[in-house]
Amino acid sequence: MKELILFTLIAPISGFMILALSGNSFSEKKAGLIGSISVGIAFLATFICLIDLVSGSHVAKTLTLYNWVSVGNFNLNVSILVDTLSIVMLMIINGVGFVIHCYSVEYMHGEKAYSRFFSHMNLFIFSMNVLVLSADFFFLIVGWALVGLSSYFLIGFYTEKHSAVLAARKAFVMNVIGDVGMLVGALILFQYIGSVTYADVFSKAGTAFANDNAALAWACSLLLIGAFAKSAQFPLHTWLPDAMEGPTPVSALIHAATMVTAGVYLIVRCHVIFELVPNVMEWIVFIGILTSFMAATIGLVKYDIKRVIAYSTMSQLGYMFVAAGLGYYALAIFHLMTHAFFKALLFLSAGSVIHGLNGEQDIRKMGGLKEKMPVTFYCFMIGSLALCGFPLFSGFYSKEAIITVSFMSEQGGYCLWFFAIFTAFLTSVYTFRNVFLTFWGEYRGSEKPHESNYIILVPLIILALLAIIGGYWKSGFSEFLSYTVKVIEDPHNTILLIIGVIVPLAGIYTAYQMFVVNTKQTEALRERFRPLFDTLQENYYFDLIYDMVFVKPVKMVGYFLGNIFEPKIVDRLVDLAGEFADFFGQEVTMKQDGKIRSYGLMVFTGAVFVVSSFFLLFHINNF
Amino acid sequence: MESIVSWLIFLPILCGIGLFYANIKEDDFYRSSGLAVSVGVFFISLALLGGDYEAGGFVFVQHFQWIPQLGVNYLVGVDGISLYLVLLTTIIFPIAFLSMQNIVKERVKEFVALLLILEGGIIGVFVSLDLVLFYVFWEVMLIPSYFLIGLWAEKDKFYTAIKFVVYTLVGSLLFLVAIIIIGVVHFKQTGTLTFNLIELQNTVFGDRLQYMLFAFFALAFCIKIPLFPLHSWMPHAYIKSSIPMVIVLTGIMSKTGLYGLMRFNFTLFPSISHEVSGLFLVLAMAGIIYGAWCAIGQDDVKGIAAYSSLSHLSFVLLGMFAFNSIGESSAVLQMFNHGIVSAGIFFYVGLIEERVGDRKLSSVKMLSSNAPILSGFFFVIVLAALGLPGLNNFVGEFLLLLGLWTTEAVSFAPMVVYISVVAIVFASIYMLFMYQGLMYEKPEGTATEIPEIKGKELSAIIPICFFIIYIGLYPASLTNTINASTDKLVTSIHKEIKVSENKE
Repeated sequence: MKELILFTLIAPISGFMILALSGNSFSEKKAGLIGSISVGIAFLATFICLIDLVSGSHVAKTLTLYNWVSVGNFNLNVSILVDTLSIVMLMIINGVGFVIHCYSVEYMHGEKAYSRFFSHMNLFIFSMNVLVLSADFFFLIVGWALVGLSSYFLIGFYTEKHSAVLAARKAFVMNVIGDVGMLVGALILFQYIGSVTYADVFSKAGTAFANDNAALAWACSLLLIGAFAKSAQFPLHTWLPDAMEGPTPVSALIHAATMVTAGVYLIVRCHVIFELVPNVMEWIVFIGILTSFMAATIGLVKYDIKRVIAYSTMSQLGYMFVAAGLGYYALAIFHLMTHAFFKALLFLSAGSVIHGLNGEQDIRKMGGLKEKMPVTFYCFMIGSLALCGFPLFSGFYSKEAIITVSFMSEQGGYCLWFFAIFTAFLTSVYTFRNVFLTFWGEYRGSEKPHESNYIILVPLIILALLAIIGGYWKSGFSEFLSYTVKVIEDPHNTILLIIGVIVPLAGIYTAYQMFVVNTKQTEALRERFRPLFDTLQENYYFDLIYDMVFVKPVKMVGYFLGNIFEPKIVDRLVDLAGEFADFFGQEVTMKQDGKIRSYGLMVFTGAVFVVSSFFLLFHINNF
Repeated sequence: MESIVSWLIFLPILCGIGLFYANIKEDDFYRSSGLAVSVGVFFISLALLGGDYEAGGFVFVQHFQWIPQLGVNYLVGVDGISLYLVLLTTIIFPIAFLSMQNIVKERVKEFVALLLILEGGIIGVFVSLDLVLFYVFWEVMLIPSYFLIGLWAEKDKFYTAIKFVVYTLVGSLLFLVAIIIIGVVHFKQTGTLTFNLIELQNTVFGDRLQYMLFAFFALAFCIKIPLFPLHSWMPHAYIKSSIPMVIVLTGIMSKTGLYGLMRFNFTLFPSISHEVSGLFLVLAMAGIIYGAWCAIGQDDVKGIAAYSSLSHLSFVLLGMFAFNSIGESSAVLQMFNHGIVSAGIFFYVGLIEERVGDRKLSSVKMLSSNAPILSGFFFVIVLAALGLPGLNNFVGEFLLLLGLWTTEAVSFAPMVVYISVVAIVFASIYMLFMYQGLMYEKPEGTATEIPEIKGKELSAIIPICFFIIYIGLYPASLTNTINASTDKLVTSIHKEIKVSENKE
């Protein structure tokens, strides 16, 4: 029965191979069908394994396939780990993934590289499944890098668009920095433990690092570099907004629902070793809340409908890091799941808007779409309410709990809670700014808006249902996860709950006042705080600073070394030595010509040298 | 079966000499006969896989006297270390012959003949167990390559060739001197004159003499790799030589240097090798970063590929000078990997230059969607070169770093690792510069339509991509054969170190 899990790998990779090798020769219908069905099979296999796990004893199963490599004392098998955590992740990846694939069948209609799109989407699903099914750090890194690769492909899907190509490269290189961090982290773990499998590392870390906690802290920090890069946390966050250059289904699947949450998965998966180093856990909380707050402020001023949602993704990932850093792993994964539902919904509805407006993404050119796209509107509304944590929507159950935890847990406190709740307020403001500017008021664009057809709307409705009801099984969810990770009961506090309900509502009201009722005053406000507005609009100038501090110097030094230092200095010195020798060479060999001369000279002197040394040697002792 | 190694050496050499005397006008005859011979050699070399490498010793050994007066023997054999290097040679040469189909247009007969002689010489280098025999094959390898570089270079023919000649001659002459000294010293100690590597193993050298001998051996090999800062012949030779020759240079000839260090320096001077490992690691690290950084600054695609080779070859040294089983096995594995991947990169450089007539990133413009299969396979190779986890190069890099990280040879190994991994990030930068610069359209100008990949080209690219993916999925299939020999090497090195430590 457990072999069935292999289909989550086989099906998507076969889909990828078939579509990639067909080289765009398939019709749209055929390509879309192959692409979607392969993910559907993966989802079915996951579902059966879930039933199997639930009806059984919930015990983790390891499926060992073959010996991957064995050199010296490094021995590694290719194996798959099926436990409650990986099954939850698989359900999210393949479930949401399947819905988004179906959506894409219509959304990508008419694209020149239609089957390339589906082949890379399938590659992504495969890679993500490798990431969560891996039973050791090595294949975790493999999956980690492969999702980065598919993300690269899909961000740069529009190869004729230069900005997309650059955004793809930026995402790739930033993620390689993370991969390298994880690689060195794995080296340290191997040095102390002698193995890189989860089972060995988690069971032996306590004793192996007993005398050298600093080394473990360092290893965990290096793993975190990978987590921060993949989950777009400060300071490795600048690639995510640019990643919106990709098609909208890609943003929904990779840059919202699944891949970017890998960092959270990593921390939860490795919580055993992270808990041994409390300082690092504090860092996770700090970086999480910092990113969350920072992203929310930027979200307030962006005009691209997708970028606003992208910043909200960054912000919500920050919440997940806070929950994980505080030790509430089930809560972090729970928010990961609800977020996957409502954020995928938001992106796909935004995609439906963009589709209906023939590619327009600027919210200043939208407005009044409530009547023209009713289904899309309701779906977008549901997604936004869930994101804000409106009572009874899924986001409420996960986000409100994280905010409460940030106050109630041992490491939490007023300061953390204040930023968490303030970020929640900002979230409501920018989310509903998006809603109001897009769907309320007068239509300001030039394209003729039209509602999308049912292939786009059905996935939206499915996700909308999940975004509403996705939060209802919280206790069962925690219990299910408790077979794999340590689960702490969420604390309850009525006052915090009430504040947690009121603040999002206040945010929505503020957004209504600012962007529907008093738009003039908002304009005035913006003019008054122009420098602040510009700073936010420029993402706190991170791109500029990175460009000046890292990108330009690396390129300049590269140019200097490759084009000036090497040919003009190193080479010249060698040539000078050669000319020096040649000078003597001419003295010795008198009249010989061209190529043969130098070559002959060398052979001649060499031969003399050899023969004389031969004779000499018989007369010297070992010196 | 015993003579199979000799067949591998002499079949291509004899065919090469035979072609010199052939009197046929059509160039195509020479092209296809070169390809046919090299493919034949490849199939013969597959028989080597049938040997028993479990014990770690040499198999397919052939031994008879050659010049008895001087104690020179014809002694050849294969073990786990040389097996995959011989196979790499027999795999790369057909690829080189495939790449020359449209690239080399003048003096085709001579080119093919010299390339075949070169193949025999290289295989001889990998299988010789007698120092003099090794030196002979070393020269049989070098002399054709002088001409192959010089006569078919794109420009500055003389300058490019002479630089290569001077560098390698300096190295190989000192090497010859060292060989003779070793023979003489052994003769004085035991009374028998021999150059048999296995018998020479136990020779004891004077304190200063052994450093000199080590240096003479190492110099010849390090120039060939090339090790920073002895690399300045390499950019010229790689950038200006014709594509088939570059494939051979980077794919295999660079490995002869690495192999030489491992086989001769480590066997004959184990304790010194161990002692100077710090120096080698620092130089290798410098080469890794320097090569990667130079590659970022290149506009010429061939330049990027050349400097990336410098960077990647230095990586192999990291594992070799770790002196543990992980390091040595992965060094051998990575030699194979690098040969496959760099051959693929240069093959593509030739293929694109042939189609577009240009290879400058700033001026080439074309869209990958014109030729999805061509660009797809290219990207697989690029990904392997930039060390994508899951493909073969990463397996090697990971194991090399693992070997270095757990080494006891030097105390500053982690520092070397931290600096070297920066080159992995750099690799992704320059490789993407290269791929995107060639295959994607730039903001200005229009794209070139390029024809899709052809059958002959595919027959070179598909094996390369096969190895890239296969080794990524199942490296054990190679390392299981390599392990016994490298374990034996490591054990003997550590035994020797203990002995010399006890003496002190």
